[in-house]
Amino acid sequence: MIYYFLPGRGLFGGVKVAIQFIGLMSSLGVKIVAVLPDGKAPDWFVARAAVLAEEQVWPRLTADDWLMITWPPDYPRLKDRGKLVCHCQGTDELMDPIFADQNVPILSCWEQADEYVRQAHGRSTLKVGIAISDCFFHDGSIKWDNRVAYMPRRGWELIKACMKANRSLDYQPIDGLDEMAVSQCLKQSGLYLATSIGEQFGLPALEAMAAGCAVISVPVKGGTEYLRTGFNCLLGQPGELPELLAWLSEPAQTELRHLFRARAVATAHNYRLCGQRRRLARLLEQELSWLRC
Amino acid sequence: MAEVLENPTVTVIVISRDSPLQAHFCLWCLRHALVLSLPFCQCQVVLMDNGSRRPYPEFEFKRSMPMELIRLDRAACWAGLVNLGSRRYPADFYFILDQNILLSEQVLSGSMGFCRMQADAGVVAPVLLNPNGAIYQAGLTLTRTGPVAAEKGRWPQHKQTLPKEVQAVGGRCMLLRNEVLSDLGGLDETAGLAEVDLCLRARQCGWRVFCLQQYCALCVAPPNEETLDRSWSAMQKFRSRWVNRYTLDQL
Repeated sequence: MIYYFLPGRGLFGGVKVAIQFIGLMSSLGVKIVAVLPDGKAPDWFVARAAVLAEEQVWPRLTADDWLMITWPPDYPRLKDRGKLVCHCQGTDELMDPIFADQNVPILSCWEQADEYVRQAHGRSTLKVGIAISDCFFHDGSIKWDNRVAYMPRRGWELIKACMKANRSLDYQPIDGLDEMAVSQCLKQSGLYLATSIGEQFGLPALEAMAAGCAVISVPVKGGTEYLRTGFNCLLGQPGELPELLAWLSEPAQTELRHLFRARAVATAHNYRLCGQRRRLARLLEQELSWLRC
Repeated sequence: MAEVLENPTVTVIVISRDSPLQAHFCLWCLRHALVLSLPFCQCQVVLMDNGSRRPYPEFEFKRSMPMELIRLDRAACWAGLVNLGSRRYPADFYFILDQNILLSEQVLSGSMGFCRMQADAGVVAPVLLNPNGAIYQAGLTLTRTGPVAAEKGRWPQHKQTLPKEVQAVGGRCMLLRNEVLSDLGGLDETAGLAEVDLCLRARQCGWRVFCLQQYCALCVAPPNEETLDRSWSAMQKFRSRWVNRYTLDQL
């Protein structure tokens, strides 16, 4: 059995990625459950994962079981409890002790994480991939070309600057909504502003791309594998964002916006759940077979 | 993970109350289903008379097919009946059947065949149909407020021929692996909606739950007012224990 420890059920991309990973692994016949401190499951997205409270785990734990971690503070408190495996969803310095521990196999979600672990710690990882929910993919519903979706939780100052410089656009905040409402909002928006500086992967930007938004983003660490500036999005330093937004939203750029949207959806198709499931199935036959306990 | 059993034993637990005629119909359909399952398994049928006002006459039922009758003086809950049946007639699998469910011939053999192939399938159930052919229940969908019947009122479609993994299935017709019961220490008789409680706890132990969309059974009597009242209180009990403790299904 694999027990995947999570710090909580809040509105964070990492929680969704973890629960979806559990759902996929479980559908492939791997015995895996999510472990949350109070046993309460996230209720802001659709998934299929069994959930346990932490106190329920300890009596069940055997020597054959794996403890999967993704949140750096879990490492010191769990490393003496059993065999650890890390589902890497970030490469900040807090993760370094985990990467340095040769006994902890690393499963990486994206290319940059694999690259970082290889360069900084001389280790290889198993690339298990990352996916976005199917509900985000654009279904042909009406899209408002001038509507700019954004998430005010991170980079609010930057958004304010964009608003000030581009008053004629229709801004649509996304905050505290469940996954279905977010997907509806993104599908109706023509543009998406990704303003979270220092983001690891930037899942919301990828979800916006799947929903057919032309994305304007600040640079992110892991997101460079899908954000290709000038091809399917515009990347710019935080100070350049208001200008980029003004330029891309001009009537003269209508064709480019449509092109970005089409390419964005095509790019996002590489991150479908069915694709990640296929990848995991292949890995479980070979490199990850040790997880089938 | 369960081993593939060569010739597994199955105890079919038929739960009935106050309706010997309906029980006869149910057993008549079961008999046909048993014929097809004979090459795969050894079946034993147990009819549970769940506190009927006029106790079921044993000879009348035994005349139609070999079976055991357990007669309870007072009605017990679903979980209690399954626990009792499984304790008294232990087997590798338990097929639990409500008197109002009429099986199609392939359900039992198909479910057994599926469990033999899918060693981590702990609980499986067929699709239940209304008498008009529309779906009554194809597994359960877990919502914020509790479980609801999945696909209710829709018409079965040709594409729905693959087993669907779900978080829970209803208890009126289900096949249950004995190892699941051993892992869980039996069903919890104090739980509201014991069948959903069973499925969720089984999933916590790594077992998987499936709705076999290729097999169907007919549900001839929807719940009456009395059962609805009971299920309302069961739902309250279920919520107090489980709400927020499972992930949500797509509606």
